[in-house]
Amino acid sequence: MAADYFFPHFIEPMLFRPVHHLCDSQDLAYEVKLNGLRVILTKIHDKVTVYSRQGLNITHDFRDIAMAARTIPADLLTLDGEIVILNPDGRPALDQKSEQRLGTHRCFYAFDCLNNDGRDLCPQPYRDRKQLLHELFFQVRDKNVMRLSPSLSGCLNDIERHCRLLGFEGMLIKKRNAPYLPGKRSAWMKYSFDQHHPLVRFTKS
Amino acid sequence: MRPIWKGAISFGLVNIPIGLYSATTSTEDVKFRMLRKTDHSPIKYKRVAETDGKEVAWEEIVKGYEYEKGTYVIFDKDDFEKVDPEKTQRIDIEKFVDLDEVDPIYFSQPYYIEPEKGGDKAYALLCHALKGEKKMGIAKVVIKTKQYLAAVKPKDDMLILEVMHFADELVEPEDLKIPHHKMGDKEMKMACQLVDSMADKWDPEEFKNDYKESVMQMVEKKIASGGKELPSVATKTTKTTKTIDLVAVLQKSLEAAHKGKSKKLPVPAKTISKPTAKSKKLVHPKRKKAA
Repeated sequence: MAADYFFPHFIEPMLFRPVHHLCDSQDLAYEVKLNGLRVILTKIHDKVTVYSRQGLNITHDFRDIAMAARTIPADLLTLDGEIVILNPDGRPALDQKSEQRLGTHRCFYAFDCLNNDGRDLCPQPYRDRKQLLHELFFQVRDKNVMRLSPSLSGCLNDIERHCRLLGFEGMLIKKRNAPYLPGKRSAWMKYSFDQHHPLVRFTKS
Repeated sequence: MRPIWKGAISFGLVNIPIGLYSATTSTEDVKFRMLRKTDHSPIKYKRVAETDGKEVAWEEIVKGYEYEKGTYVIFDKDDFEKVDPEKTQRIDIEKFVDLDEVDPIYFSQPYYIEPEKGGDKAYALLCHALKGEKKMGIAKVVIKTKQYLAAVKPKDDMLILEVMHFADELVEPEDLKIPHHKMGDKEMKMACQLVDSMADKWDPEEFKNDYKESVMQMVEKKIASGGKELPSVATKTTKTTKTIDLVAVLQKSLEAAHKGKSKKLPVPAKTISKPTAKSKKLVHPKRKKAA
């Protein structure tokens, strides 16, 4: 085994710290808050495993996602992302916890890449990991199930207004040069547009 | 296909014998019968008198108009026959109006029109004349005992009849709170960009009645399994439907907004990430697998 080869099956996802205001900075990247089920997805050749936040193997509940993930062009891969139930209009369904209802659609939004072909990417800055994620997903044909959550371009003002207009419920804020810190709640933040019930929001993850 | 009605289109001195055919199939959901749970005996309805609960035979039934609470004026079959519209078996076109003049909200049900024996030439003439003039005929027609308002329209080489609502059948939306705000230019532009980024070609085949399909699937599975309980996974819809990627739409509309801006103010795109030397190295990590 090569010295730099490293492939853990599960990496504890990095957590989001709730914030009550947005700050505009060139060092920050913004993404959409989708409110789905946070998962870590690993791919070893054709075998895809879906792990819950706590590291439980929940692949049997998400066979459709696992099947679609097999089309990502990588032999060894660890992705951080969310499984989101979408309404027919494309917006995340309000009730993500209950069983998937009729007419809704389930897909995986990847937002980070933690390991690719045995290379540990966690120490790399966020923007580089994102760049690689774009490269990987460029070749994914079935964009209906496997999707990518991009860093949104444009000024913060525009991003916030567009997000609100499209009916998303908040935004994620990430430091562009920060490494991935498994299980830590520091460099990633979440901001909800509806700040009226902060106590309720805190209990969500 | 059998015609649901036979008659003639008439206007001026022209008379075109035609048949009407339903252009839509029943839109009803899957039909279920109501049964008694214990022995699956079908449930039947009976007409019973409210006062004593006794069954009332059809011949015993008359119609009453309640003009005051509990007080009725009675009408029987003969009364109704007096006001029944005359069964002319004709679609009497009263006038021709522009095709785009009528608000589509008035159209309720389409029918195909086929020429009957001897009507071919006049049918084709009317169809092409309407097409050339971009007009449709407005007619009154009696089908069974009811009078309808209808439009005779050209569709390719065919004439179709669209049953229409009478003006008094449409409800005035006066009680609804409809906003009449003045929009800011910036907001309007953004909203238009969003609409543009979701714009697509209209393809009616793309949209299916998911509920009906799933219910029929469940029915077929249950028949195949001999009516036994279905395992819970079987009823779950795992079928993937195509759903728009709203996150991608968001990104596209942001890029469009950004482009529009940078035309006016050439400010460098500060938040767009540029591939750095480092990330380029990362991009092609050529399978460095364990040997």
